[in-house]
Amino acid sequence: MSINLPELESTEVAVAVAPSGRRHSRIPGMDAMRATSGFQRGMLVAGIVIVLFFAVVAIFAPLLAPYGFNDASANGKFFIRLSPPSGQHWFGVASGGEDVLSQVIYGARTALEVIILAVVLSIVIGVPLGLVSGYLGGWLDRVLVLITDSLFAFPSLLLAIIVSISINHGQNTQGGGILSAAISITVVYVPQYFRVVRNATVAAREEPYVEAARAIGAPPRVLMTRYLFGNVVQSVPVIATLNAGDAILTLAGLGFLGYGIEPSAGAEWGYELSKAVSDAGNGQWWTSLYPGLAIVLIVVGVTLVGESLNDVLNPLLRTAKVTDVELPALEAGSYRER
Amino acid sequence: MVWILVTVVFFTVRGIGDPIKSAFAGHLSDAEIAKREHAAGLDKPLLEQYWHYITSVAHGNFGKALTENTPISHILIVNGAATLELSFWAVIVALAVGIPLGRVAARYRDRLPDVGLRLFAVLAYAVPVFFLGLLLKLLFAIKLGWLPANGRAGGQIEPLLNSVSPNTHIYAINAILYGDPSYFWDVIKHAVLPAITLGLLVAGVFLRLVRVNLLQTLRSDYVEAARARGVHEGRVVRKHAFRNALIPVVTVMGLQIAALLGGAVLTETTFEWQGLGYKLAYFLNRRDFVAVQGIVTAAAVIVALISFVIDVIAALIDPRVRY
Repeated sequence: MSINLPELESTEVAVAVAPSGRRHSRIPGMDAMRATSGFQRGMLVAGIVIVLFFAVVAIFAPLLAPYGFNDASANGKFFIRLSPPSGQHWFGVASGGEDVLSQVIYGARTALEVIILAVVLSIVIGVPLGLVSGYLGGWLDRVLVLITDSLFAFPSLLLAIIVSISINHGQNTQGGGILSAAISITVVYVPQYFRVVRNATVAAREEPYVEAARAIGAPPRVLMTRYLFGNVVQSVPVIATLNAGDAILTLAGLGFLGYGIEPSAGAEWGYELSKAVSDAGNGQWWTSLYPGLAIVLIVVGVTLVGESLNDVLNPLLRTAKVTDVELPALEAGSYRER
Repeated sequence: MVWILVTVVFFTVRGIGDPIKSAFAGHLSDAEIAKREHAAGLDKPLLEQYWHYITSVAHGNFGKALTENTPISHILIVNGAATLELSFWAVIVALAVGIPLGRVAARYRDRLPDVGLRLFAVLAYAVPVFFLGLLLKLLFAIKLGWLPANGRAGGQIEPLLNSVSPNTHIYAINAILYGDPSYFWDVIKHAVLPAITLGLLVAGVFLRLVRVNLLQTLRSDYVEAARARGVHEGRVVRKHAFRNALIPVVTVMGLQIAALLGGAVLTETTFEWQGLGYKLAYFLNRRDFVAVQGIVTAAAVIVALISFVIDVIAALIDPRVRY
């Protein structure tokens, strides 16, 4: 017995601590930074810089933007419609007479609001659902998996559009507010959180430490919140960042087709681009170029952060997600092909 | 699975409102609207409508669009052919760009070409399809005037192409049937920009996939054995690893079809390409939920079918996968 004891202890420690034992630093993200090197670190830093830049722009939009996003005049003087970039209007003037620079700056605010709301909503709905479904199993699990599986087969933009119209009760207004846009996007991403959390839960359910807790008599609620949650929630930040980029594109797609944010409620890059289609036909490039570049830049930033986080934090996810880059463990290992 | 999709679509789409009311309110009397709703079966209880819809879809009957007098099945064939044509060109572009570049990236791992290509993949993912489409249009259609900006064929050519019998609705084939090479050329020129736009959406994914799978295959024992025999590295990649690395790519291609269809909506809107996506946006704006649910259901069925076919193909290529 005395020989067996340390062995038992060590396995328990390995299982219970290893998944959550990665956090060493008090500053969030510091470990991730430390675990990177070379190109990877460059990607992460570049991504963080871009995201921070947009966050700053979004927060200080009223200070940074020279005009309001819907203003077609200043000091009683109307802007000349579709005038090209100049000293007064760095990014030119849109077809409605709005300053493109101001629209782009305020667009960052809209994008950020929608994305944060959508990601938070998806996590709040998707994670508990996945946890319960994965732990309890049975018919509930089967039904939920079947539904999410079918939703995966569905072009996500279509889903978002239909939900967006449903929320606005099919009125002929151009889209709705920030919240309805966020909900439309949420519907697309809840299945992803659900799936990842559910699979992690199913895998963790039979682990010895859960078994032990169950044997002591912990009720399911405690098991889920205290023992399983901490271990299955680890992949969530990575999915959240990867999804955030995707969500920005979905929002822009919604706006482009006219189901996004109401133009008076906020500046939205996709909607601006949809109005710029006809301008492009006349060779007026500035109304489409700048909002488009803003989308590209912020998505690149978020994607770079998500990709590097994915590599660093989540070796487990990598086997499931085929689109990922290489394993850092193997990179650092003895073998290298050249 | 298809049944669940049909059900989800049916009940969500009801939320987009009443097309007859929204189209004719104010123009027609209430009695007339009620009459039209009765004719369309909209006054029946929802469950009865649902049952009716399910049974008719099972028989391949999607009903008629409410806002125009065309059967949905006709729209699915005519506009579906346009989307099929566009998707075909897009997949060609995606494969032609993604696979060779993924190979290059894996071959020169962590060196300059690889880094550059990985950034390209991220960029290809980050560019919204409609923005890329607009930029291409601005540059090649409007500034340089090399390629047409909109549509599937020139204004005079389109009706001629549609008069071909048998009409396949796929213009490239119709043009061949028509027998005038310049028409075929015209069709191809119209397809270039949309195909690149939609193709690049998927090309980045293919690039990364090929790269990762090739890197994984290059680590396997048999590749090591080939190296140990003194086979040149370029030949190892070409002859030994590449084919096996493609197997997972085939599987993911199936998953990408859904993304392709979603992207097709935006691409078709940008280029006024009269496909299913273009039609879908059109019917959505008119709140014609019968047409919307028909098109969306068809899209879902197509995605489900394609992923099944892809599974079969994967099993054929890879003897380890058996069902």
